[in-house]
Amino acid sequence: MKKSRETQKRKQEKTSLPVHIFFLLFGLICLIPFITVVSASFSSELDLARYGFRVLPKKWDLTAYKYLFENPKMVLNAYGVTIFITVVGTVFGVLFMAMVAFCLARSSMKLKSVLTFYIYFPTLFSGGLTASYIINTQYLNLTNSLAALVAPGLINIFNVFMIRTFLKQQPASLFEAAKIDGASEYAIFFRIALPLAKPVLATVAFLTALDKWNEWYNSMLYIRDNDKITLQHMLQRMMNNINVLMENMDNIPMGVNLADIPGENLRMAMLIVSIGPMMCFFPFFQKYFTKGMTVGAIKG
Amino acid sequence: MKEKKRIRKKGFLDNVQLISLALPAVVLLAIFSYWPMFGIVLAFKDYKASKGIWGSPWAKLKNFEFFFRSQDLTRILRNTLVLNFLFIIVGIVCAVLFALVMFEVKKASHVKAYQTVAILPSFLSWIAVGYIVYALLEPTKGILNRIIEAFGAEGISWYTEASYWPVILLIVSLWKSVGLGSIIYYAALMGVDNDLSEAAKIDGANKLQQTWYVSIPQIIPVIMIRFIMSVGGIFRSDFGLFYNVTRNIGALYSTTDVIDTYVYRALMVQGNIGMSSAVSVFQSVVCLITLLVTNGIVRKVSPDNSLF
Amino acid sequence: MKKRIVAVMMAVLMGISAFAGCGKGNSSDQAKGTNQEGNKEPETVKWLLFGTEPEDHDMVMEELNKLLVEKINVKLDLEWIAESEYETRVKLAVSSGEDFDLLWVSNWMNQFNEYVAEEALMPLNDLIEEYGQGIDETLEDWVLNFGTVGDTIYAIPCLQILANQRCVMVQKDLVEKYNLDTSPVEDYRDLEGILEIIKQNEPDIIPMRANVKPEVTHYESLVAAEIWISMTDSSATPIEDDSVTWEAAKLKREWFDKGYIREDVATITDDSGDAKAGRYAVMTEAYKPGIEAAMADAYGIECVAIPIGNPYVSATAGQATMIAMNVNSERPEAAMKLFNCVYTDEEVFNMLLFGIENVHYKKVADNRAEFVENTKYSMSSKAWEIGNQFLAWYIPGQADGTWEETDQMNKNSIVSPLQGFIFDSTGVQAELAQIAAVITEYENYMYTAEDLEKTHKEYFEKLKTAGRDTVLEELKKQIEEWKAGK
Repeated sequence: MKKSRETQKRKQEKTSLPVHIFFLLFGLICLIPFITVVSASFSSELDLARYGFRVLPKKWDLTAYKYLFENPKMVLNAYGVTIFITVVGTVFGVLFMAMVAFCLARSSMKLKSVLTFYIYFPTLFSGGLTASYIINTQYLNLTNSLAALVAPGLINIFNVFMIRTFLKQQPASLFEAAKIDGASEYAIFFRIALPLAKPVLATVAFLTALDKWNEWYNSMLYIRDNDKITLQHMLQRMMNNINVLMENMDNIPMGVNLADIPGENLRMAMLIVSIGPMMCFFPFFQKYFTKGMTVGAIKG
Repeated sequence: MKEKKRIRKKGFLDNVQLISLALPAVVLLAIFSYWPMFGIVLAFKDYKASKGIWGSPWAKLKNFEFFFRSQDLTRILRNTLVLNFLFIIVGIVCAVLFALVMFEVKKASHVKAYQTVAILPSFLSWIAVGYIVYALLEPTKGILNRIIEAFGAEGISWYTEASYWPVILLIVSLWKSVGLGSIIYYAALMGVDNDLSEAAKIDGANKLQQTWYVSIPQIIPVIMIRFIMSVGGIFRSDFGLFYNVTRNIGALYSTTDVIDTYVYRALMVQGNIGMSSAVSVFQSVVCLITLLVTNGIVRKVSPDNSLF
Repeated sequence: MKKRIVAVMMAVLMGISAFAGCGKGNSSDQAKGTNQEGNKEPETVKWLLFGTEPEDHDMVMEELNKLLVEKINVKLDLEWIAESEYETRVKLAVSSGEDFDLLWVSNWMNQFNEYVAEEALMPLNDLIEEYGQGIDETLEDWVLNFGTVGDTIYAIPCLQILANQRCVMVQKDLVEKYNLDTSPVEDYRDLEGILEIIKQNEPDIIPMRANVKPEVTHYESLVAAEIWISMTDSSATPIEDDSVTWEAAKLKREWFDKGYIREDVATITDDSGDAKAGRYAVMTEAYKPGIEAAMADAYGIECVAIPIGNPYVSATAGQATMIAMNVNSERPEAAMKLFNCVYTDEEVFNMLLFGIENVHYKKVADNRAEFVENTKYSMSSKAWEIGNQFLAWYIPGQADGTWEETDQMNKNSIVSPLQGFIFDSTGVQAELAQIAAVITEYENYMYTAEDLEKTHKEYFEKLKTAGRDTVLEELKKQIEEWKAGK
């Protein structure tokens, strides 16, 4: 009874004015540069060269977007591939990371120490690109396979430790109680730990999704079919090819019609095209941050 | 007797179950992180394609020469360490503060809006950020100088004065990462036991005291982990920040040249697998040392919060 | 105790990884296709080039392979890799022992010197003698020499324009407006008249685009360490001091102070937008027959070319585009046969460039073709990357006789006193790396330095500390050896 009145009272608490002002100001310094980028993507290159970056385009121009979507099939394929690896990568990534974090949080001293070191060590030492490439292409046959885009970076060590720390902080009695009732570790994991860790899992899921969404390096290294490359890879390729040609004009006979190729505005359009969807996903994760904690319910 | 035996068996079974949960991650790391580690040997080899990785002659420490004999070694080491340390400390402090203030926003829809806007900068690539900073700091048409001149003072030539840049880079780095970085602390704050804060309030604690005595201690573990792990990467820099935002201008190198930018510059035209591998090994070794030291210190002070 | 467990675990894991990394890798100890009979299965040669794969790539390859099997009993598997990814992919292919045969190298991308130092390229002397007679006949010795280090041929230059001459392109409207003198000049300084006129009368236009390198009109760069040699010095003596760089820096600074060069030259990274917008009155380009038309095409601006100095063939001119062979190639003979065919067979070469007749292009004359509208295959702009440019059919925009003209230019230009000499930089890699770092650091010093002389001295001090003297000594030594050997 008392609790619900308390919660009601909290719900009606109002945010203080200074807090609002702070966030509005901060929001402004985040928003304005962003809008400038958007407007640059809708400008013509000549206008950008003459007038620089502005908050509103001097004249609305769709050249950059037309260039990007010139080959819609290619763009659609790239979106498809990227969405696929983002979903698969996030689901499996978060699951596996949560599992091992749970193990770290719950295990006995011996196992915990060994496992912690094992998991942390790779952040320090890396074998380098050549070694990974050899393994991935010759032993694992990942060339041209979507698995090459999902598997290698699936376990993010920072995130594992975030989840572990969160779980460690939860009252141990929660887990012990279930134990006494005869639950297996699996049951504890799926029925108690996961729901408990929703906020941190949502965070990790978002960060993982963002990471997978922006994947381009592995796509460049391993994917050979043009209709299997990721979105970011497609965009990078477009931009960098132009750069390479332009930087080396001295050496290459003019086989390139530069007047056609957009410049700055293309870069900005690429940015918008690639992050647009991610920004739409964010609210989906957000609701897990603002949902109330259910610790009390479980305890009660 | 039988009771004890039963419980012990359960203990063992537990471990098996826990280990099986950890298995997917362990296997993935074994394949993609540990297996490639044999590549470290390249740092010590004079790689010849005709002989392959294993057939190539040993170069001992020759690949490290270009780096250690460089006249800029002190500069890049100093810059890397100092700047990274600064970024880590200030970054964590600001992200935590940001999360705490965000927590004071009561309406869910407001939180959503503010958070979404705050993470916008983290979506921008460093190249885009470089342009934005340029638009601000450009000597003749830049926004900042125009404001300064409007007040009657003389515009500053930002891109030729190295001394401003540690601060500039710090601000840019904060702006880009505080939104996203604060989310993890916000999530941690969500896990704070509400009953405790309510109890504190009832006991007469004001907002500041509540924060200091209840909220912060609860998220110290997360902070500590982040801190230790960040320090574990202190010899590596975010290349995008140091290269794109400074526009790779030589006049600024005295305060902005770090290990990663130096190596990129040196090996860009005439690169060499052995040399780049050597620098990576160096960075790894010193990072390991730094990590063990930091972890050791934290373990002495508050054993629960150390990494291992 | 737990530390011990951890240590053992680590050791085991490292051991496993070391063991696993061995074995398969870079030694091709499987003898393949060494049968001597002529009528065996055609081998497939894998060739890595950079460019965008055309839509009808597979279709054309099928036709091409029919032709190739007929002629030389070899098939071609051509992989086009995006320009910006080429270097990374090829380097990985080499170091991971991937099965491929031919690659493209040069002195400005996918560094030839690097591959030579890593012993990644197959020596070609014998192969050319046996299977590459066509190449041998087409290329004069001095051209073939560009891909040679010591006595070993490691790469074969693709034939195209070799002579280098600077020119400046002045916007045609401005030439007409101010009646500018566009006769050829000897030196950059001679352009000051034009620049001053523009500066006085056109406030919105920047007189000179900053990509000017005054050094290259009379000097040749021997190695990227500010070491030059005079083009007319028959004794082939490298200039050891900083005089060449100093003169160039002074000129650039003067022009910067006079307002000919844009104020923010040190901070902008990409001015192509400005170039296309026509904000530059004068731009530096590489001179060759047909450049005015090419410029109008590329930038959409009509210009008049003013050649500077004389055409010159540097000691490394031909290194701009070369084809080399993977040292671990499993079918070197077939690869050389294939390249020889592409290099000399007009039918094969042009099918590679133009595709299939009447599907992708229409033949207009014996030596001329036109692409069909919306053609799904057009690689004619890659001729310079693949083989002998002069063998290619002309396309609209190229006048008949352009190849002959270019060839003449190649043959009649002043030739470098060091022609035939290629520097072997294997022993000074560390120094070159440090020097590269310094050069980039001081890229724009002539514009930003408060005291130019002081900063210039600083620059060369740093170069010295970075090892310029060592590189210089090595260079002089190799030149002496080469001179003695002639």
